[in-house]
Amino acid sequence: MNRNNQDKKIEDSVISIRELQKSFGEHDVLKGIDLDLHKGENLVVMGRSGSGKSVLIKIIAGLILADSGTVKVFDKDINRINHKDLTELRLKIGFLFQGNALYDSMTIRENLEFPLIRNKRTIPVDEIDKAVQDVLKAVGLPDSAEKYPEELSGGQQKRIGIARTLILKPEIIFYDEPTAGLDPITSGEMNDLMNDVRHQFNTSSIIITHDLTCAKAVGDRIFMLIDGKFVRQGDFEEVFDTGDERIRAFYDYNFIQ
Amino acid sequence: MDPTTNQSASYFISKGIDQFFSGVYAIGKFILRFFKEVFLPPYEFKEVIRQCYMIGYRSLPLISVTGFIVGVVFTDHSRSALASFGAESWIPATAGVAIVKALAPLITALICAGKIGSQIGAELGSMKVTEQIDAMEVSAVNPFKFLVITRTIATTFMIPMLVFYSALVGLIGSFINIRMVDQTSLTTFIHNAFTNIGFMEVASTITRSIVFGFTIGIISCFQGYNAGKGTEGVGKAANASVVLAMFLIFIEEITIVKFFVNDAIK
Repeated sequence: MNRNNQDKKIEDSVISIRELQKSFGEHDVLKGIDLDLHKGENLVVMGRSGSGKSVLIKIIAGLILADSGTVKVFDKDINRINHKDLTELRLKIGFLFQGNALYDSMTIRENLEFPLIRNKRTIPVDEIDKAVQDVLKAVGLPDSAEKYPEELSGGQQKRIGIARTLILKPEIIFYDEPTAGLDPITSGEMNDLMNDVRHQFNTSSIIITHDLTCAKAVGDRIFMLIDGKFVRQGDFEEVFDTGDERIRAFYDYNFIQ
Repeated sequence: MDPTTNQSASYFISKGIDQFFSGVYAIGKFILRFFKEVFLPPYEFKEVIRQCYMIGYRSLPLISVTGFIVGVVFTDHSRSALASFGAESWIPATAGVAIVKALAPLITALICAGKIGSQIGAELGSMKVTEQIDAMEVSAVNPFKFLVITRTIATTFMIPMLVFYSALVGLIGSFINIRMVDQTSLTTFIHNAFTNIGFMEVASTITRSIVFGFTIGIISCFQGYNAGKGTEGVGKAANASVVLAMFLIFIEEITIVKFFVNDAIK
């Protein structure tokens, strides 16, 4: 399925990043990143823990300010945008956090309704119910609406996290370590779900992971982030067909594990 | 003297001063943001009501117990002091003024700073640490409005109500104590207890309670909203909420009483 998508003609960029730099104190995390995410594409960013992968998507989502460089989302510079435009832009962005970030004092229904009610204040109750049921069906958990997040397994919580992003019908989704902490079977189901979401909701995605199986299953292009820079990019075979020890070690370790 | 020790001492002093003023600046900015956003739509009425229930109604058992004990104990202590002057009949008036003017606002505020401040600080802190606040932000919801403004409005409204409830329970405690010793009637007790309580006394209590309520809400929200990483960050946020709110309540109490209330009563 993904191999076919690789041959798809690249259309316009929905995200365009040039010379992005970010430091925390003395520590330079991102040292001049260039990246384009094309419409309908699944782009995987890989790298070791602490390499700045999550920082990258948080900068794109406007949660962290970049030190320098440009980050354009739908042609709007995220560092120079006003608050109203940023809010409008965020309606087109979904974000699955590493720890799911479900509101633990709310039921699953309330979690899903929360962004919908607050962004579409006049939406009728029956439309809210339908939207909740639709996204729950899409993630394969139609009967979980009245449960609390703590009553669900890790994999189910990830699915609800995806459902919460889908309820606003985003055009771009960021997945931060979507398979972290999941067993291989649940990870496989999560990979299938990410591919289904892409086709069903016509989304473009950036997937942050260090799980090679996930990268291979969902990624059209893979970017390898090492020491704050993308050192290699391309499809799975291209990226790992290299003599670069830093990338080979990553590959060998992942598959031996 | 060791020059190295001197250097490090001056370094820590300057760092401490720097941190203090950065903290004051950050809290000032946070309060300014509150007043900028509180009047702007969208309004979260349902959440304000929910918070009023959580903050007000759920604090009633604790406030009832402490208010009653304060009333009983204060009356007991003042009896022995007033008895030495043969002025036991002044006990209701003394208790009335002390409870309504001083004890109820201060003790209720301090108890609420402990109970509600730590609750808000820990709740927002854990939401920050588990990225729930970021999740609100990326789904185009203003977390400041939903979390900070609602809780601060709720504490600002509910603390004055809890103060008056505490004063009422305290006076009941005081009456029961007096009644157990002599045969003062309820009518006499009420008449004597409220003899020296006028409009200015009530206004002063309301004003201070509103200030205390706002302080508890905004400080605990600030600490939780800016919590550090991990469980340690949540613990520190809860602790700092209580300590800073209590400290500020004392400062506000002495400032309002010394510079505003006394002048107004004179």
